[in-house]
Amino acid sequence: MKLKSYIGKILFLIVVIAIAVWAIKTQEPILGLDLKGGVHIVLECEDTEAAKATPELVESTRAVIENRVNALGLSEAVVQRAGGINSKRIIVDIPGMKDPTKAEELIGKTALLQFKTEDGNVIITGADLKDVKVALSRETGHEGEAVIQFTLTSEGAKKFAEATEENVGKHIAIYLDEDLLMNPVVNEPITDGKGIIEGGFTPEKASEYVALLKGGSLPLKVEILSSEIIGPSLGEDMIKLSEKAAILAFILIALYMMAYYRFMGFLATVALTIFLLLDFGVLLLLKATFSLPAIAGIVLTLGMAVDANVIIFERIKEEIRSGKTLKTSVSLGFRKAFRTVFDSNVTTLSGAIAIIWFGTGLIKGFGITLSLGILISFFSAIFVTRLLIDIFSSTSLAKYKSIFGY
Amino acid sequence: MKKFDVLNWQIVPKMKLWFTISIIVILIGVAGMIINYVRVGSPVILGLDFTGGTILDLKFEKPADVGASRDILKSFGLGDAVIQVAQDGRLIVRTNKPLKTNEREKIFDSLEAKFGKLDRESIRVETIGPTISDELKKNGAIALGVGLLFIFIYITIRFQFRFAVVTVLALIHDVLVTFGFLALIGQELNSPFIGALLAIIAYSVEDSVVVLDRVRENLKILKGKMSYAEIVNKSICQSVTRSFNTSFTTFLAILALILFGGATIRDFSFTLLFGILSGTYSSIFIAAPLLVVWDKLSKHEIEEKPRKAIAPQPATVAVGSGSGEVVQKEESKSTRRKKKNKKKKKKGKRR
Repeated sequence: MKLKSYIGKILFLIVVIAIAVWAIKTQEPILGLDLKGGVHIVLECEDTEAAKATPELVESTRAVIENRVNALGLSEAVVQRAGGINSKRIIVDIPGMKDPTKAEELIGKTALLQFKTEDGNVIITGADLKDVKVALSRETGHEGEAVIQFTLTSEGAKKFAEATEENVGKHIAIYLDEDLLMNPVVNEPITDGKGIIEGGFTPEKASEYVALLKGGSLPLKVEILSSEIIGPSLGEDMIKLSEKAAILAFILIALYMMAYYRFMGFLATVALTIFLLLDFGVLLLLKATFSLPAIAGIVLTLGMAVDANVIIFERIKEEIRSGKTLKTSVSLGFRKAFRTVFDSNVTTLSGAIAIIWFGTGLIKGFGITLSLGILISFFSAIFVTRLLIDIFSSTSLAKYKSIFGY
Repeated sequence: MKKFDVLNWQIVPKMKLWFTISIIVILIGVAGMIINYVRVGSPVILGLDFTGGTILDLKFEKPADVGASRDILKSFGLGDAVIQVAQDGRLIVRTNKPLKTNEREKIFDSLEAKFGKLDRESIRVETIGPTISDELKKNGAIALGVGLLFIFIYITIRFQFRFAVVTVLALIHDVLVTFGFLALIGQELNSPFIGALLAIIAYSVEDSVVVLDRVRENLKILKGKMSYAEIVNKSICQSVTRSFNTSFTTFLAILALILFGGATIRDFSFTLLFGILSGTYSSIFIAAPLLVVWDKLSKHEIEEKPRKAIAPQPATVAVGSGSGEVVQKEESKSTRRKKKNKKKKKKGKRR
């Protein structure tokens, strides 16, 4: 028994598997938009009459949108600039949004709040706001109606006090972009910089306006280049189906390998199980997003992961057939197959990398799981399968060549 | 299973048959592409990703109805929209014009008036503007081009130039066959299909590499003992089992995806399945036999000057299947003679 010489490798493998299992147990998978629902929007900033879309203004536009999105309270939302430093593109991802159709409205609105006098002079704007929140009206006849409570900055309060003093008995209109929110008559000067906007809002509408006002107005006009909106309940069945697909693929491949290569097929199935654990573990540790195409990539690599085994086993069989001993056949088989396996993996990998490079959104996930699968399957074939076969050929069972499918 | 172990197929001698099969399959596909071109102005039907527009996939309280939906869309100036109602009553609308948020909401309101409340948690809306669709088209073409180029360079470095040429020819074969298939079934092409095509290309190369690797190895051992055509044929026979098994396991994985993958993944998987079948076929029946054609053509050129009359003979030899063996031996003699002349040249080429 020469098992001792493999102890280092066995320990290494056990540690690697343990890490993978730990990752699978502890890490929560990040689900893609298509499984979890949500919104993915690509925006481009445009010049306005007032401002040119400089990198600084694009960045502050991004920050405003981020504020608005954060006001929704969805923790996984990401608002990022796309492309290089001069790119005017902003990508918004909001996974898990309940009513994703709302997102575009929330993001694309300029949200310029203006208080105007009857002759159209702007008194204060959203920039003068210190705080806004939703409150419930206590006014008789309107009890329980949602209202927006605002507090002005000290400078804003001063401007507002002056304006209300001058306009007692007249209207002051409150606009958000082109929408007239309310047009109240000033009864007396307001000097404390506090006020309430009533517009017969539903609670949802009031919170939406608050989110917009809190975020501030957009310094640039934004144009939606593309958007993807997926309801959260749409993906639920898909998760179960993809699990089924992966399990079925595994079972079919395992059965075929064992039927064709007998005991070596069994070893390949063990290696495939280890491959699957490692693949999932690494994907989780890398915080990869699990979308439908990404899962398709994982399932596909299950089929490809055994390919290296097939190439190696066929080689070993050939060596056995030419009358060599099992041990020589195994080592010759691995050596001769190595280059083929390596070359075929490099070419497949290059295709997968082209997918990542080209990829937008979901299809990128397919490329990522495919590349990672190829890399891990290479390790699985060269290291895991090899180790399993080596260990096995040093036992007494190895006398029977027939269990090697020949 | 044993019978697979000692294969002795006459693949190279019958290559004219394989080439003919491929040409017929490709021509059928091309016919499909021409029909599409006449009908919709593009050889394959381009999906939303490449044309731009909006897809609405909606579920209302009541099952939707195509006629009523069309009337509503017409009132919004979207009379050319493609409207479908799925079995579960979901309404699927595709417009060529990208819808703005407020337009979309107005359409929702009108549809809700007809079919009851819209389930906003089970909604899918995809909008692609012209900037993005142009980019996707451009990127797709670049990715395919770069993928092919990289594979070409890699195989030239690792093997030989001629191996790279036949591999890429086999890949173009697979791309044509797959496109033809997509054109025939009228599948809409979206950017995931570029991913599928790249995966097919990568996978088909893997298959070709396995066969070509054998050819390379056998050329070293058997050169001089057998003709080039015989060596290639032997290599194919030696690698047929593994080509079949590697493809079959991948086929099983794709089968699982087709059964359980859901609509989007199913279309994608069908493309993969078809492409991988074509890739397996092409690596065995196209790529390796093309090596023999190349070999004959290159000798043909050299031979043309000294012995014009005999030169065309080898070309006809490989095709005739009945008397193939006898003539092949003759050919191998002349091959050996030429190889002496070419030896220096070839050595320089290989490494």
